[in-house]
Amino acid sequence: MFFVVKCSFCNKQAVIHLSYSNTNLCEKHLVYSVERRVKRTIREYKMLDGAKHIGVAISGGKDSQVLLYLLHKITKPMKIKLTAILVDEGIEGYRDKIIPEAKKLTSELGVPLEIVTFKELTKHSLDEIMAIQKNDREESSCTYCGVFRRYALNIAAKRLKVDRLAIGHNLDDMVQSYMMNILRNEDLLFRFKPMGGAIEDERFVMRIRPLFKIPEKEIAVYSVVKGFKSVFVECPYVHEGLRPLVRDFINSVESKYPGTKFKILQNYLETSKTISEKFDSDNAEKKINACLICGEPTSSSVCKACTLLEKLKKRKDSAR
Amino acid sequence: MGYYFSGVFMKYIINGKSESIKFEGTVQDLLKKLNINEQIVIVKVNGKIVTELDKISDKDSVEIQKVILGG
Repeated sequence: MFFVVKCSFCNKQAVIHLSYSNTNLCEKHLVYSVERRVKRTIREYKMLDGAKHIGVAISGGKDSQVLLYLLHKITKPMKIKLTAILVDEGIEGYRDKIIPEAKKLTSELGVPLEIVTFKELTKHSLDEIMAIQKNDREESSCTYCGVFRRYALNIAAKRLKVDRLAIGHNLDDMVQSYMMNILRNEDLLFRFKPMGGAIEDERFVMRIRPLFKIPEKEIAVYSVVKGFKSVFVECPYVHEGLRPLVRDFINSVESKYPGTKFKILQNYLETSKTISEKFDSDNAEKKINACLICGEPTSSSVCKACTLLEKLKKRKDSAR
Repeated sequence: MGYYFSGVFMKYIINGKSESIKFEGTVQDLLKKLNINEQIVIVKVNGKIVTELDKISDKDSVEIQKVILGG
């Protein structure tokens, strides 16, 4: 190379350029920076206060590997128990390629791994669900996947009696979800807040998102620097959703106007605070019901997962 | 997806298809030329991760790995 960029804090070769702060970081300073910010987020939101057993949602991808590694490192002196939870949607050529990495990391860290499958919970893998729907789809694969993943994680978390459920959502995931929420005119800001859930209810396990202020690229470089073996495979259904479009748009704006993602996040945090106050007062007298079919908590009479399963059953019966 | 480059004329592979491109400059320029956003890839030059501000010479071995994927 005829020009090597040096770290802004030492003389070593930089591995990442942070255009939003105009700094370059070497391996050592990137690791230090990411870990310091994650610890600060955990402290700021009191994510681990009172926690005894944390379920860590892992997929085997880079974000959840980093999440599990960092939570393991941070909670070890606190004697908080960790259990990794992996939801296997049943996507051939995708999840089956990533699961071995999840097994390897949990075994290296000595963290028990609980695998929950769509098949055991809904009697169908995602591939089978998509095959039933064929080309005449009312709902996209991402709708089924999102609803059933949340359903599966909540069931596994309760089965394991965890008091927190850690999710590996990073800054990019947060701002994409916020933008998608606006584009769809949905009122689901509570679904991805840094800590907590839709409604404070003992039947919902409290979610925590310790990586939510870390840009995805920094997590990716951190994972490579740390030597995590990530299998970079793409979900075959990803192009059916809105997220790739939103992701590409936000990335192109970020490239031109560095710091945009942090500004969107800030806007989300301020907006969600106002909305959540309204949401809380609106829901103060709203009763949380047990789903008439599965017994899981829902604000309606039948939960979203059972509604989708009913739709699927009708579709299957009409095809016979 | 993986891309592999060597020399001023770089060879790269996209979805199994091998291509080459005439290029000299920064990693950022290279990514722009290939229409790849720098936020979704990690670039290694001679086996080491580099920033997009590093400049590449014709003796370097360059590998671009897409790391931000959907799913």
